[in-house]
Amino acid sequence: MLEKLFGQKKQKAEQEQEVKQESQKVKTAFYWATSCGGCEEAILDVREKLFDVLDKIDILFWPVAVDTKYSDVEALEDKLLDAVFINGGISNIEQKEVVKLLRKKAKAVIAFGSCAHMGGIPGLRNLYSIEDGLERVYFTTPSTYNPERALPSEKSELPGGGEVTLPPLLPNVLPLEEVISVDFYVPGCPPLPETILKALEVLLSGDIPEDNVLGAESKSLCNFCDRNQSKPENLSVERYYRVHEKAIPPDKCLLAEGVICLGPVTRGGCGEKCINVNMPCRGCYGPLPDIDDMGLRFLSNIASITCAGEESTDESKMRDAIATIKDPVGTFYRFSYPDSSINKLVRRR
Amino acid sequence: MSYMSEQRIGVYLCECGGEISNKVNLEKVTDAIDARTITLPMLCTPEGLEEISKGISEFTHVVFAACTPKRIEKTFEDVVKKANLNPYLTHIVNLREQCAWVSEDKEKATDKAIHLIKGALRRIAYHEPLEEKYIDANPDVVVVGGGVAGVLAALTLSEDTNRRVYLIEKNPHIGGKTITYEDLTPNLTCAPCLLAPPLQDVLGKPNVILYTNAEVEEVKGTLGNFLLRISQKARYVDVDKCIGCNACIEVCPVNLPNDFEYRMKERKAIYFPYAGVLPNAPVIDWQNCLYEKERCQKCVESCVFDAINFDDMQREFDLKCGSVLLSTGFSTYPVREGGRIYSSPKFERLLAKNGPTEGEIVLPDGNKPKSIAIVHCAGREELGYCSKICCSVAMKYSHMIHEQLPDCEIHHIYTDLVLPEMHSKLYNEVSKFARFHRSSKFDVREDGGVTVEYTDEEGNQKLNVDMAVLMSGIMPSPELKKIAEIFDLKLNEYGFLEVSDMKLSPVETTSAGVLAAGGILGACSVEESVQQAVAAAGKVLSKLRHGEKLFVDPKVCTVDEEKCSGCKFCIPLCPYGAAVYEEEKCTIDETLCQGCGVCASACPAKAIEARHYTTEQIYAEIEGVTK
Ligand SMILES: Cc1cc2nc3c(=O)[nH]c(=O)nc-3n(C[C@H](O)[C@H](O)[C@H](O)COP(=O)(O)OP(=O)(O)OC[C@H]3O[C@@H](n4cnc5c(N)ncnc54)[C@H](O)[C@@H]3O)c2cc1C
Ligand code: SF4
Ligand code: SF4
Ligand code: SF4
Repeated sequence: MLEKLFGQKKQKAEQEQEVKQESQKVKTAFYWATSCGGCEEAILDVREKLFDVLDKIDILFWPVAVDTKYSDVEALEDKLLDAVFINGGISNIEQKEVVKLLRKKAKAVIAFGSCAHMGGIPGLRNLYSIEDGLERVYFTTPSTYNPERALPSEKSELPGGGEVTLPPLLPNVLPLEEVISVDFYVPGCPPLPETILKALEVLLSGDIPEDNVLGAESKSLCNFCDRNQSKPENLSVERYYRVHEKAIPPDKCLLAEGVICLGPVTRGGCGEKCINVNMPCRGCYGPLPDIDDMGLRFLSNIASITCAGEESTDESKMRDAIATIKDPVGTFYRFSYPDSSINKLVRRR
Repeated sequence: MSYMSEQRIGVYLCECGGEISNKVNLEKVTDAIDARTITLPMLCTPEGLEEISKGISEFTHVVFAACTPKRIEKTFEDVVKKANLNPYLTHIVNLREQCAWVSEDKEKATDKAIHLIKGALRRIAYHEPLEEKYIDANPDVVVVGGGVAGVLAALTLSEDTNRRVYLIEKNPHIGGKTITYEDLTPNLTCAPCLLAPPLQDVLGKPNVILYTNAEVEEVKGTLGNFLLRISQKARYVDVDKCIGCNACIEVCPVNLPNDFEYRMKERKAIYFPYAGVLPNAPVIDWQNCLYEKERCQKCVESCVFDAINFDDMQREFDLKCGSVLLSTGFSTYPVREGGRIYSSPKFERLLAKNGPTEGEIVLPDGNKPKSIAIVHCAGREELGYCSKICCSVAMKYSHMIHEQLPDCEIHHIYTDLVLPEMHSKLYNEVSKFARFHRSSKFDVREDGGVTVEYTDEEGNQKLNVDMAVLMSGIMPSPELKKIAEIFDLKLNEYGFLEVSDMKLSPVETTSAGVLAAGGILGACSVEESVQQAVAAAGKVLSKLRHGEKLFVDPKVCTVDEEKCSGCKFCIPLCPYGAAVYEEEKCTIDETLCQGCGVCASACPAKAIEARHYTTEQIYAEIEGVTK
């Protein structure tokens, strides 16, 4: 059955006939774990092209759009689902169980979007304990009004009798591949419609890249960025700025101007959406093929270019320059902290 | 990996005549590792090497567990090559210095040896055969600085007519300081008579190419293969066409003080820095020339040889060479001058027959001085050292003053007299008419005349004279820092260029292929400058023989074009300028790359691989060692 989806290009034409038949449709499921919902919307963003795809697929499970129960999934034959798309990192017991169940029922699992791929923005909570995290979210953020100090709890009595339960949180948000084995990745926060279509095309053609990342480029964003031309050959940064601290002309490389842009370590294919509106790349398309820890790699890159033009090796100058980087973890690991070597090490302890 | 499954790895263990085997239990090592081992009493003896060459063809990869690679790498390489094995498929583990000699504990030494060999075995599985390349060494030489040292070096080198010598001179003329003097110590040789012939000679040499108004901006490469970026300011006068007839100078309406003559004389906007300058062509001072402001073209109209060209432009170009000789000279301590107080370089021009007074010693008011004080050691305290040549030069002045003005009173205020050998003869003569006052402190003031205050054994003294000459100390040229930076050289504690060994290689710098001579290395006389210049030329000639091949180390970095995203990170980081950005990609020039790996670790895309130090090899070795 897998060949139906991932078969050779040659066979595609022959199969086209078959695929049309109802019974031969690609069986899929979609699941949403710890994510903002943007990934689900991204699928809808594919718009009319989605209909072409819908013709070829059968959706057996999609909590956001289709009324199905976990028990329906349990009832399926093992390995019946051709492709399961999961977005969001895994941060509670329920999600962990559901993805394990889906894994059992699936021929192929696709980590869809940055959170499933690398943990994503919610993964920054791994910097704190569960208690400190809840304290912050429910009591101390500037926008919180919670005079009763209400906190979600695992069990709550309902006023009219009965009780509801919430699944307990895991101590960390995990990339999907830390919980179940993942076959393919579609990066992006969220993946662009173009990325999604390209990913599907690649899947259908069977011409899968070695690293199993679908729909994105294997070269860095700089390679596609129009600003790269302006980047000087003697790249050297003496001080870093946050985006609001410096006006940058639309044709100038943001990094060269001192705004940390993860373009050099991040895969292209995002359509340079951020760059085109004067925002630096935050790395949502994930690391280049050979890189394990994109934040670490980029930290070392930043070390290479900081005060690189200085004649003296005066460390204090470099230290001052590095000190102008605000929120280093959020800057270097905005989407990939759970995937970082340091967080993995902390978790292992 | 199929490639790996065909591997037959052999390990040669060396007992080193007991040096290793007494500490490291080699049987235990043999048992612990998973490869064929051969233990020999001494790998590096003829018998040992013979044994190796007999058995080595059995293996595809070989680990030598012996002593330091510094000592035996070359020897093993030869044996391996003879057996038609690529030397990069071998690896040396140092059991002697790193295990046997550093441990008292046999157990631990053995354990360490096992771990190191395991690391080597893991690493070597990822070794690939590398191809050694040779390129022709460039025999040409760039000489930077056309003073006496640079000119004599260029002349010596140019005797080999198959070699081009490029002479880069910052000024519009050559000859440096020496050509501006009248006589030279210790024998009072006439400087222009002595120097004009070699200067003429160097200009006439077909294989010496002179660039005046030029400086080095950038350097890449090393011995045998340098690439220099030269910038040359516009001169506006074609040296080849100009015959030095002076016609243009007569018509130029601009008058300015001549800095080359310490403002003791005027010049035009088109001018000869001083009479008899070589190349014998004027230069235009663009800042003060009226061509741009008023479209003045009087000089152009006056020149029958069409030598003046206002379209001349500042330009930059590259020069390739195999060796560089630096001879940019020293500079002198900036003493406080006055109308009647002369620094020694300025006084030299007063003495010069081609100078502003045609060699007549006169005060600014035109009168002849009746008394002159020569104050030694100006700047010595500030510089922190004795400049060694000034006392002798001071004797020269005394002699020349006395010869011209026999009735003029001459006073020397000195701290020590540094006058070895020949130079003391001059002192013997001078001491007959000049008076010497020893004092470590002095103060020179101008007050109508000149008052010199000093302290001798009898206390504070005051001397009123008509004129004073301050013997300026010798100091590094302020531009030396830039030169050192361009060539990646070190300066010594006094700020002069450091040589690689003061005693044994006194003209070689710390960079291979870069030599130095003359005042760039410290205070020196003309003969010392020439000695160094000729020595440096000799070094070049012996190192850069014709037909010399340069080994291009294959252990360099290479860029995977498929992965390079053209982010330009590596370009500024390469200390050797080997990484260049072309057509949206980075490429590394293998003949310039030194394999330091800086770029490889900085490449965000991991597109750069350090050959023979690949990530796989390093990880494998770490894994093997730590397992
Ligand atoms: C006042 C005085 C009197 C002296 N009298 C005597 C004497 O009587 N007898 C004696 O033996 N010695 C004497 N000396 C010492 C003598 O001047 C030096 O030994 C000699 O000049 C050293 O020659 P050089 O070629 O190394 O340097 P220089 O003569 O200084 O020549 C250096 C040349 O390099 C050029 N240059 C500098 N920077 C650059 C650059 N960046 N790029 C390209 N070109 C550059 C300069 O323009 C110059 O032409 C005297 C020195 C002084 C200061
Ligand atoms: S660093 Fe950012 S702004 Fe600069 S070229 Fe790369 S992607 Fe563009
Ligand atoms: S243009 Fe005029 S001012 Fe300039 S050099 Fe020629 S004559 Fe002199
Ligand atoms: S390894 Fe890289 S940085 Fe080092 S010399 Fe070679 S190109 Fe330059």
